[in-house]
Amino acid sequence: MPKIIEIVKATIIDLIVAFLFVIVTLALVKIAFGQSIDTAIMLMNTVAIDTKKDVQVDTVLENSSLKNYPEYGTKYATIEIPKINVKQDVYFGSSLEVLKKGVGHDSGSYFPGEGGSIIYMGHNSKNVFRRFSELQKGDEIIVETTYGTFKYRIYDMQLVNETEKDKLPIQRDKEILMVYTCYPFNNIGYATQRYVVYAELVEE
Amino acid sequence: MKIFKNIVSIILAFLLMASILLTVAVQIVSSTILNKDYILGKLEEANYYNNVYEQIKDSLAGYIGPSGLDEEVLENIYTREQVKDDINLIIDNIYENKNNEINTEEIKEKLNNNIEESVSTGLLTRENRKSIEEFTDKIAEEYVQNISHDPYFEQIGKIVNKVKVVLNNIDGIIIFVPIVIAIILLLINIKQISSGIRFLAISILASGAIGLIIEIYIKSKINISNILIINDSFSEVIKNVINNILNNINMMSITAIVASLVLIILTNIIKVNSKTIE
Repeated sequence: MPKIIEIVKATIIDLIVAFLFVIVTLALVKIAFGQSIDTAIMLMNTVAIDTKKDVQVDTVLENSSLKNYPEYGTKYATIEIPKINVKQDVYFGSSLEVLKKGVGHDSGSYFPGEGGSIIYMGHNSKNVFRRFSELQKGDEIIVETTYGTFKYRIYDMQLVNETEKDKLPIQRDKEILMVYTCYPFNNIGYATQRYVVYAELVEE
Repeated sequence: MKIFKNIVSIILAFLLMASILLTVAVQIVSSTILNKDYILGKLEEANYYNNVYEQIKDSLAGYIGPSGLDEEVLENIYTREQVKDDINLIIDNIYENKNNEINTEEIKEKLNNNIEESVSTGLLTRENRKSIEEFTDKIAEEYVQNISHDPYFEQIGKIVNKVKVVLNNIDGIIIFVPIVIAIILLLINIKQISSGIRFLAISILASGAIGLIIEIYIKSKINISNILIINDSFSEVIKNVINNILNNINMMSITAIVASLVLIILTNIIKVNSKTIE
């Protein structure tokens, strides 16, 4: 029996030594690399977000600013252009995947009601913006969002090259809706020009 | 003298533990992330080649909407084998510091033929021919982008090659460090070899415990199953690699802990018994 006690005692001492090794090592690592480790974990967590969480938060407009922006790729509005008989869903985002579903909203631009530049784009296919050339100054565009309805009036139309980003300026002095599609409308292949319609907010 | 010997043994055991951890870390990195064959295996395991093939199909379909062309023009312009070969070409660039470029001439040619067949000759005006050329260029660009993911893969290649150079310089030496320390530890305790083995076991036990702590810490801090880098297919490979590395660490750590505990108990039994005999 005393033998066993002695063996257990010696084993416990060895375990304590090993435990101290672990503590000292972790403390040294924390001192030397603590900040780098925290940064690495933070970076990893920025790409490890649980996107499958079903969080339903309503988008609200408060003091010309949105609360709870829609998630990328989700529908948050409809655009209606009575003159050319267009009524399409608007999705937040401008990827080809989004444009397959309907009209896209450039994620770098403002939202209706925020008082800035809003950029929408859609294909020039039959059911989207094929008849854009029929639009004239004074025609209406109605955007119905989950947080309100906004009416715009067309004041200009322009043909721009796809690289001319300055023709679609982002500002927050005045609420302007810019909607564009590929040009020529009956194009075959890849169109490098865009037909842009500019409209100002007339009713909120 | 005995106290001095014990202090030196403890310091050596601590250094041994640190060198074991470093050696294992280098070996894990060399045999996984820096090993081209391992990565190719993981790509296969995560069905990466097929996923990219489907992903290219979806991306290209996005160009059809505004093009005025039928979706059939994209049929058979590239094959699964071609996608696999091109992905492997990019992997070669990353791991062997090469600068190979994906050849898209065949894709362009097939696409052009399909367009010529589907569009009536009357519509092939000079202007339309120009935008068809733009279209084929865009399709080829999109194909390359879906495979090469520039500039991300290029950056990964640079990092991989830098780490490879560093590890190649120390790889040969690092394996001998724990061996040399272990031999010195045993030599110091040559008169009572069980003590020497006990110190070795303590080092292995501490290394195993640290390995296990690292694995648990990473798993608790990072939600690995939700990692999303570049796209779903690539993320699947990354998740697979991280899980595989963590599982290896877990297995090695548990083995080290169990083996060292057995060794500690055995050496203590020998020590107590030899004391009784004396």
